[in-house]
Amino acid sequence: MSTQTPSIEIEDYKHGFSDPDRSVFKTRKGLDEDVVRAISDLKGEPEWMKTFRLRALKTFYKKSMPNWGADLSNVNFDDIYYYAKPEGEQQRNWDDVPDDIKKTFDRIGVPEAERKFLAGVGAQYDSEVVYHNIRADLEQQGVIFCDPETAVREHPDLVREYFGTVIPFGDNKLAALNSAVWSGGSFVYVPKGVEVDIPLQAYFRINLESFGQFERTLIIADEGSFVHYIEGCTAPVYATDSLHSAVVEIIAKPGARVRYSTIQNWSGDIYNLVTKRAIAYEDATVEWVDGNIGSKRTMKYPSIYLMGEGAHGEVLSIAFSGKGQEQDTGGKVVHLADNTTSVITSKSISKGGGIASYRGLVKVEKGVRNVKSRVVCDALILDDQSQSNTYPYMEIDSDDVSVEHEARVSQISEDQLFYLMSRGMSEEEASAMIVNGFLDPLVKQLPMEYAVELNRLIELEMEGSVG
Amino acid sequence: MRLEIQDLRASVDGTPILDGVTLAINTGETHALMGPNGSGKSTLANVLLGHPDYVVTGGKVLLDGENILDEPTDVRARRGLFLAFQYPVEVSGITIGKFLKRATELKYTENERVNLSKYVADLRKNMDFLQIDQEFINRYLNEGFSGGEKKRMEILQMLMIEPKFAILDETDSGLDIDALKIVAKGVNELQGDSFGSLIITHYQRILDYIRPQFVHILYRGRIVTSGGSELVEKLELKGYDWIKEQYEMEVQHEHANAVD
Amino acid sequence: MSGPIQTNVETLRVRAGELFDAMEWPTPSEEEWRRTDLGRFPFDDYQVDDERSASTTILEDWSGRDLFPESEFAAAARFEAGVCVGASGLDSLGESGAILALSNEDVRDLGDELPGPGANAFEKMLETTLGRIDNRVEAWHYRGELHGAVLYVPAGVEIATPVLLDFSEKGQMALTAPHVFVILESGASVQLIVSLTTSESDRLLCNSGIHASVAEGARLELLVIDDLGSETTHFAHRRATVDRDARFTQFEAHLGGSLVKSRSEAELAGAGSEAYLNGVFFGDNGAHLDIRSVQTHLAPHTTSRSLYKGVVAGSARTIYQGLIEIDEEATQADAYLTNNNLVLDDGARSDSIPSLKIRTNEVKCSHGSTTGRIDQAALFYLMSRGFTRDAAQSTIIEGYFEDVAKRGGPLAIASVMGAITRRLAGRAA
Repeated sequence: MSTQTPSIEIEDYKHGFSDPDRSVFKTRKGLDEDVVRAISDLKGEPEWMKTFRLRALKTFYKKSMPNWGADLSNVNFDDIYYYAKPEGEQQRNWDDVPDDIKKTFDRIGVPEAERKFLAGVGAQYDSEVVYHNIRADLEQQGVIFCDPETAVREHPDLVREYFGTVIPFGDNKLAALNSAVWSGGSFVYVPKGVEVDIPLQAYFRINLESFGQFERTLIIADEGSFVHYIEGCTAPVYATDSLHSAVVEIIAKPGARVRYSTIQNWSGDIYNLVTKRAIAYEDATVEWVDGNIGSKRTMKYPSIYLMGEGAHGEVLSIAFSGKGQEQDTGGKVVHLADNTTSVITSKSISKGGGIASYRGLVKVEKGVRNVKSRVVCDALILDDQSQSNTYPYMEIDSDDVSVEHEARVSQISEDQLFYLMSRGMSEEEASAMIVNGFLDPLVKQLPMEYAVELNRLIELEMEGSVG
Repeated sequence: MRLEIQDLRASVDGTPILDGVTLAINTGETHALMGPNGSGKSTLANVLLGHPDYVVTGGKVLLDGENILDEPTDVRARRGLFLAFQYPVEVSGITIGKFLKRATELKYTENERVNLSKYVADLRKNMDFLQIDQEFINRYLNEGFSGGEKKRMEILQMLMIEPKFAILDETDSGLDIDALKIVAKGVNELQGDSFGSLIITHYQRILDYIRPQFVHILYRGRIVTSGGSELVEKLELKGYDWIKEQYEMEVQHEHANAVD
Repeated sequence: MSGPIQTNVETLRVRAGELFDAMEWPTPSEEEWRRTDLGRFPFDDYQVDDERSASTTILEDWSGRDLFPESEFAAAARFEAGVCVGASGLDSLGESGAILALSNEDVRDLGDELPGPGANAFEKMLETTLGRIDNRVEAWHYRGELHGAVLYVPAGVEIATPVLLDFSEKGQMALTAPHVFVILESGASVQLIVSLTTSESDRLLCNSGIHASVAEGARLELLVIDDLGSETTHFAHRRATVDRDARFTQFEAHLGGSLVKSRSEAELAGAGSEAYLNGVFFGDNGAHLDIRSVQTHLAPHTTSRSLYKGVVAGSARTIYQGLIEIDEEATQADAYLTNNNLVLDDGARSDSIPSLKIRTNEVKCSHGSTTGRIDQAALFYLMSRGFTRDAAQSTIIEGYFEDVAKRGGPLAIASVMGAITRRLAGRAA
């Protein structure tokens, strides 16, 4: 607050920035079998993956859009480019990255982060991974961290064993879409007993107008391992709609722990529809930390299937919905094994006409014993144009459970505002501080640079919200 | 510097509470304001800082000659007014450390900047002085604090902000003698030519430790008498009944006249 | 508005019939019916009992004391198989200006008998009722042969003792539509008890409705006790509109039945109004209970509370859907919802869906839901004092329900707790 990275002006940051179009090759607008074949050929994929894509495409045509949640009626699948390949082969050194791409990542602070905190960075640019670097000792431990295209080529056995097992393409229309046209993302495999002590990160960025992002991430944490994966994105502002329909699959084998953090800050016109699901086996833990700001329509319900005894699942969700935005987010946990526990914590803020909705499910299957689950949803509505909705579902089919749910909706307390103002803070600053305080218990679960970025984003959003 | 309250009238929810309060405080002075419950003591404190629930229906409050009643709360604070709340509100998610740093920064104008190492040194020193454990820096503001901890936190804020005028709204209520002494210690620490205080209290206990030069008694929304510490002794001996007896007629008489 | 009533019950019936013809049966694709699939429900198998007498003469004095020996009622009426077989207190009620209309003729004439404001309120209620029909089951209710009562209390009249309406429905594959309209003018107050019973040997579909209009400053306390046999299907449509500074308190008990789908809605239409919805539900064997409560805030400074507790046992399934909806205009709303569910057996299933739709920021609104089994520590404690496991369970469950029942007053406790104790005893046997 009193110090700022000199290269980022508040103005610039808020309105985004864009580089001249770097794409060399794009498939034509719209989607059909030829486009899917072209994508597969461009990537040099083996036949089995091409077949997978084509079968997924058939399923995509058959299914209808989900009819609950945010309003998706403006998505026109024919008006989107499904693939673009920028110039330059996959890089391994920061110095070799083309200049304006470097500048982009300079501005959002990758070099510093890379030096201090990261094990490796995959930078996505128009759906191809341009730059990738893995720390030597991770490679030595047998950790695989690459893009999914490389994984298909170099680790086909692993891919065939796990790809599409957590989210089959028949699961829903958007999963089918992604399965057909996926491009980029991350593939992570952590061998038994290995604890990756530094978070793995990847950045995404949409640069091209009317372009959809379909990255696919698969994380396999073998027995007793630990990994923290961070996904964060930023994108420039465009007039037409952009579609982001990603799929993230996580498999946490017995005793493993996976934490997946996201700060999503797409520009205002993006449709952000993500399917994220994890399977946790015996004594495994999966934690989704999900922050959503920006994007016209978001539907994200990270879910965890607790399939092994003693497994634990946690979803921490932060949503900020401003003018013209609809955040429909939450989490799902399904208890399929004994002695499992889950926690869902959701904090949302709506202002300036935004709509923030929590939608969540806690399901306990028949005969499952000794289950504990707790869901807490807190919502702040900042003005009388905004809306907050809470739709929790508890479906309990066992008598040996303790399931609790609590939700609270309120506004910024006048007394708190008065208190902070009596210490010299303007109403705007006091409001921003209270809002940041509201989110703090969740924000402090994020790595430091994300926490800072999120706090800064909140302050930007709060500007002009008063008076 | 001078804080001058002139014929201040205010109401809450349509009910008039302050009925023409007139009072002047100069820096270097310690004033005590006492009165029975319902006389308007807390109302006065909140009105001086501009609490939104209260409506000012007449009068002025001049800080160094300028009427501050039109200014928002934060402007009044930055001009040098400080209120130690009777019931400090809890603000979750904001640590004491972050909050105090910001509050301290705000007393500087744009050209001056807070010296970070000086700030940290002062903070630690003040926390020790008030016997507040250092780990409180990471606690959320007032959350889960006992009554005594909240009151000491108010005084810590006062010491860090160094206001020109501090209004203490029944800071002594609910405190045991040890906590009371610490609060008094804090207030006395600031005493000097550039600091004036208004100690609002129902009981005289705290005034054993913070000696006022001027004592005023508030009854039914106005100051009915002023004096020195002998007033405090009188109250200690006789309670508030004599106030009601002596001044009730006067108040009613004035109201009757005002109607005409 | 003044003048003769344009809309009367007959008109409502006809227009509901039009709606019925235009609609399809609800499907699970609609959120409210998602968990109660009527796809295979044999609607057509249920017929109105033709042998039902159309008699409008009320035969006997019925005081209600056989149901509630200790109580005094301002008025009471009993219906059997859709016909009013006994009533009392109608004349003394009439002395205060209040009216209890029990026969179809009385209800049809009501339009002429009611004073101006009362007539307007009744007409408005009928129009609102019609305008709100949003599913075919509800339309079906209003197009049918309603039997029941209209209770009217004029301005300022406070009825000191309760009014009791007892519906004992009977039949084999019978369709029955009991209904109660309640109109309270400003400042009026009354407590109304509606009890609905069917026996184990009855196989019928009961499509019931209760609608209340609580005018400015009035107070209505409504107890609704449904004690149903295991071959009874029950659809319940309940709504209260609460005006400025008025108060509505409801306690409803859903005990038994094979398929029960109920919606109770309190609409806080006037500033300063309050609504308290309390309910208990008990599903056993293979029952399916889908209970919904709705608190709708439309005006400023309104307060509402819901407390619903359910017990599900055997292979039964209970669903609780609770909604708090706060409009933009409803600033300073204070709303709370609590749902607790006890699951007794492994085959039982409990769904809890408390929702919030908030459109203004000046509110205090929250909800809580818990689902679990009987507190093992409490069970152990009672058993250590000599209770058998079953007795201990029953005692705990009774206490669990009584916590809600007491909000309905001593009559609620008297009627509900007896029924619950019987059902619990039946389980243990």
